Amino acid sequence: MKESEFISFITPLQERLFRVSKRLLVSSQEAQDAVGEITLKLWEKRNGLSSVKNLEAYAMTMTKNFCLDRLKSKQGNHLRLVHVNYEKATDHLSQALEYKDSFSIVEKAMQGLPEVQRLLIQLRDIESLSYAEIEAVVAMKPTAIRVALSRARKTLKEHLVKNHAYGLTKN
Amino acid sequence: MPMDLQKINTLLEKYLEGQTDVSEEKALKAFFQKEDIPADLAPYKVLFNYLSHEASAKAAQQENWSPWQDQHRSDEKDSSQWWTSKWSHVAVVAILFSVSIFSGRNYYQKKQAEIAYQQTLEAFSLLAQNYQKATAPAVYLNEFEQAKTKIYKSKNK
Repeated sequence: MKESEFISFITPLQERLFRVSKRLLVSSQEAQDAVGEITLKLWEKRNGLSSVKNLEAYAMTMTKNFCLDRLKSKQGNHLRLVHVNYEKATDHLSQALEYKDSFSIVEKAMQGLPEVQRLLIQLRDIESLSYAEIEAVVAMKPTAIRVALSRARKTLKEHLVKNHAYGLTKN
Repeated sequence: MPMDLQKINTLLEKYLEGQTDVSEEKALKAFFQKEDIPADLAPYKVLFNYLSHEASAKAAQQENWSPWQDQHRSDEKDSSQWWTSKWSHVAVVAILFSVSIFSGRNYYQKKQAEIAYQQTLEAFSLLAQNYQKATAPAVYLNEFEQAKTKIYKSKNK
């Protein structure tokens, strides 16, 4: 694979790889490092990539494996949970102020999910991938994916019902 | 697009069971973008608005990390200078790293090597961001190849 081919393949993909990494690793810095390392690995493998059928799934699988490995190795070093301060500027400032706390609640709920469920929510509910595409990344059958997604979604909803019942509704 | 609440509630049940397809999920997200949501559906509004928000490119930008394309556009003027300085950074760091690994094994040098390695990784991820800036990719990537070989040789020791 030539340099220009590699660049045109990797550049649009890095956005998604970052989001997936961040979902698993929580910290933006770690996610950035992860994408850097994975880009490097893919660059080293660039000559073998022409025989890969689905490049995006391949890169995503690498990302998933890399992040899960990193999480495992960090467990021994007492990885502290990064507190995500959900301060996001949007065009509608008032809406931003209103949603800031709400989104933090979801973010916290997400961090409480097991890694696989977190990943599936990211791939399906955020990245909107099909079950076939998700299967290519996580190596789970669609039935298993649905079951895990169902669990994750119910957990998130319950968390929000518990924590949001008194909050922020527009008058 | 289902407008009435009965349909929405049916879809929500399906959603919680993992039985919705992508278009149904899209419909749910679109529905909850509206302001006029009954109070008992408020938790779902938060959830689906969050999911929609996370999907947009803005999510990455606001974490103090802009998508590579945006950074490319803003840095277009001094990109070659920036590029050269990043390359010299990588070269220096790579050399420092190799040197510190090969000469002596005391703690201080190990720490220095760790720092150099982290900085190299950082530089590599910045490089990955800026591949498309290079006016002569072949030349730079050859340097990249050499620097990487040094680091990976050391790392794999």
